[in-house]
Formats: sequence, C-alpha cells, structure tokens
Amino acid sequence: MTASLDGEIRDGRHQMRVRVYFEDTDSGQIVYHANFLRFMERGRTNYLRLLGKSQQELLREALKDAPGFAFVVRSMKIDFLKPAILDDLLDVVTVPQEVRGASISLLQECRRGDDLLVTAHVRVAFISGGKAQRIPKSLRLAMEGHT
Amino acid sequence: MALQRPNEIKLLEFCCDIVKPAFSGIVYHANYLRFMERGRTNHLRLMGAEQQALFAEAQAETPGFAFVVRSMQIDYFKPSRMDDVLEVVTWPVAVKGASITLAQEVRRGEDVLVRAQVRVAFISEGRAKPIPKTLRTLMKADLLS
Repeated sequence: MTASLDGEIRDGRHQMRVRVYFEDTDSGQIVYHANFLRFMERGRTNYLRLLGKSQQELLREALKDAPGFAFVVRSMKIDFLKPAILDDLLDVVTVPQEVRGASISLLQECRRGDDLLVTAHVRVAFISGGKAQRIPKSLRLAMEGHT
Repeated sequence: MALQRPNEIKLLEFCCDIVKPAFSGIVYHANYLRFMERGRTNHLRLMGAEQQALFAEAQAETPGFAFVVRSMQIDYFKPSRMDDVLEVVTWPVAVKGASITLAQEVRRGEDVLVRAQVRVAFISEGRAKPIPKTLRTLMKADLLS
C-alpha cells in the first residue's frame, strides 16, 4: 500500500517523488531553499526504509549490534541551481557514494523532469546510545552493494 | 535592538524554544538554515538602516532587489536543544561582481554548533544581475582583511 509513497531502489539509486505544496513556497511562488533539505531527508529516510525491506535479515542484525540507532547529518554541500515552484512534481534521487568507518556519504538530487534543480553531497554519521559509532557491517554491506 | 556599526560583526540572538524539536529534543538540521537566513536578512536590514542613502541608490539602480541562495557548505558540529539561546553571527568573506559569500556561525555561548559558507546571488526584477557598485562597496567595508 505504501509502496509508491516510499519510492523505489533501482540500479543502486533510490528515487521518490515529491509534490510542491503552498506550504513549501514563498507565498505561492518559489520553494524556500531550506525546504529542499526536508525533501532530501525524505529521500534518505525512504532509502533506508527500502533497504530494510529488501535486506531484512541485514537490518535485523544491525539493530542487534546497535539498538536505537539513528543517522545524523554532519555536513552538506548544496547547490541551488534552479528554483522549484508551486505544483511542481519533483524527483528526489539518493545515491550512496562512500561508506567509511563511522560515516556515509550520499549524493542527492532534486529534479523536475530533465531539469536538475538542486544537488547535495551529504555526510551522515551513525549514532547509537547517544554516541557516534562505526557503521554496522551489515548496513555497510547493504549500501556498498549500491556504490 | 541597538544598531551596530557596519564594520562590526552582526549578532542576532534567538531563543531556541520557538522551534519544535523532534522527539530526541534536538533541533532539526534544516531549521538552522532558517536561523541563518534571519541573520543574513537582518545583516542587510541593519546595513540599510545605517547607510540609507547608499541603499536608496542601489534600489534606484535595481528595483526590488533580493538575494537568493546559490550554494551552501554547512557543517553540523554539535546539536542544540529546546530552550537554548543561540547566537547567529554573519559576516561577508567574498564580494564579487555577481555574488557574495557570507560566513555564518550558530553559537551557544562559546560553542560553535553549526558553521556555514553561503553564496548568494543578486536578483532584480526576477533575473540575476551584477551587484550594484554601491551595495558591493557596503559589503566590502565589512570584509575582514
């Protein structure tokens, strides 16, 4: 039921669609720049969710190693190339770049059809028990399969 | 809020409880962009108030001008939480013909929580334009040499 809501993973890339609503814009015109970060977060979250579905065993292992884990954003380099406007249907693409000991780098894009609107390089760290931890091997393997 | 001289670093204080943190109690990463925008806006506002004549000249040259964010590099060092009082510090680091780069920090006391470099382009009448000399001069005055 929620399949289309979460997007899909194809060829190691996660892709999902986001519709621009009034609340995302500056008075019905262009999307406020900070909102792209929220769209991209949805991409990362759903990428992880779908990884979990297709790699259920691996994720269960990760949870065992690191209960109550979460990812936190450590740094981002974002380029705002073109604006998005009210009613636009955007594609949010998420591609893992590098999985190192304690952090993951992702490339993310917001596209409208053929137009590339925003690109971001995002580094996330893995937190468990309130502290930075090494990425659990099982999770790393699941993502490395896509890099 | 007292006006500051243009060649002083612009400080702006926030009380963090106007933000709604997630269940973990820490501020959502995208919200810092909103805080930093307020810093940039107020930086410009205070500059305008101090240098009304020069700003009026810029307005005449390029009506309805605005700055749009072109790119950002942002590093998140430490989290902030509900009730934190934050300072947003903003200062220009590069002033070019068509864009300005600002450095910004979100601090809690001595701690730098977030640091960013933000490049903004100049828009007038809906299109990218070179920054009027008057505005560039104003910004350059604040560049730390």
